Amino acid sequence: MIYDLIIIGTGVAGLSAGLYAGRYKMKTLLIGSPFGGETAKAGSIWNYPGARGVDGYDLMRIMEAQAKNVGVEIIEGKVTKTLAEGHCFKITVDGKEYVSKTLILTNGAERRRLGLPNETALANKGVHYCVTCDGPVYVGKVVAMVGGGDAAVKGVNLVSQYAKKVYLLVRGKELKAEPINQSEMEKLGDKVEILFETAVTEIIGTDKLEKVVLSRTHDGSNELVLDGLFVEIGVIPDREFSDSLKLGTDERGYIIVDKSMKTNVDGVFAAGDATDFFGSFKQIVTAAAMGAVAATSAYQDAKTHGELCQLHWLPAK
Amino acid sequence: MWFNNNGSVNNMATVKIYSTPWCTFCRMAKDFFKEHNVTYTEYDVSVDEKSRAEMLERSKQSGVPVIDIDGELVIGFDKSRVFTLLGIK
Repeated sequence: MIYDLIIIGTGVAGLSAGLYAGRYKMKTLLIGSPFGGETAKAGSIWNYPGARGVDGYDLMRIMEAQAKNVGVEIIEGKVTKTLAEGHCFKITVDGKEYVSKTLILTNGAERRRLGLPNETALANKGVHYCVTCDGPVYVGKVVAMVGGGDAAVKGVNLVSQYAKKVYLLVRGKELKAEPINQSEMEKLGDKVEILFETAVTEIIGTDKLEKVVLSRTHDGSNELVLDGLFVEIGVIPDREFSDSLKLGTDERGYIIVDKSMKTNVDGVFAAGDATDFFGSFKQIVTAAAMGAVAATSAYQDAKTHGELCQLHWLPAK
Repeated sequence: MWFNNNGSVNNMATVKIYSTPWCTFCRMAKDFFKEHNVTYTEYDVSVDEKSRAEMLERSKQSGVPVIDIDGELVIGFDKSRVFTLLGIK
């Protein structure tokens, strides 16, 4: 069987694309793991229109149900191979091959790490990348958040509900968070201490995090004793599929798309955090919009060029 | 544990999950247990001090979820290991 569309990624962009594709009556397969992308880990969401204070995980389950409701098949698994051949796209998941006339990549991006020695060894032993998940474990403890963007400030607001002291370590001279989230943080008073122009240069601990070394002194020392360190310093795009499909990317690895979310390869579209279409403004609302546009473009493409895949495709013997 | 006539797992294992309220993988694990009719007990370590100490001591790490299946610890939602320990095919 040949699908009209395969979507890789089960975050907002992928599920939004699935909803639109299903409504276009496209035979659509959505592949991804883990479920829900970054939104599922976002906690309460207050900036997505029409869903006041919705929980990110619940929002993603609603989007999943909407996509399934219009006939989209969803499978959980890791894509191990992608191949473009005569306007056919062959996607291998756990040893099984699926074929499609069009492809939308919404595989997102990975959390950026500090890149310091000891960081991997102490992951989940004091060093964390999901504050909504692991922040609540640090009841009554001293923690630090690394980052100066919205995710870092939202993370501080969340972990402050549990920790007794939170340091926000900002490399630059100012914060780049939504003003409303900054206002929330300011209400926390002395519990939160912001150290600007401060980077973590070393992570120290054996079985668990003990302290970090800072790029500048604080209270007479460049060492900061911590129970937990949370890292929210943005994302780096996953290049796996863009490399294998020879997609055009920018210097940071984001897939280049035009206003219809089309890549440089016919029949391949991209949406969400895998692209840099809206620059650093990576929001649920922008990902959803990109997914909808990508599905609409894939629909037009499949109508125009879909028969090329059927002409070229030979089922595996 | 044993399988009933319709092939779904009928789990007699004792399953505990140490979790926090917004943890995605905790919620995926709980959805998975519900889907497979696995009875589990949840311990919210953000409010349950005793369970938090127990989780940290037993797992030697501070990430959630930690799943206990008949005394075997699974750190994170390692689906294939959970499948194996529950005998789900």
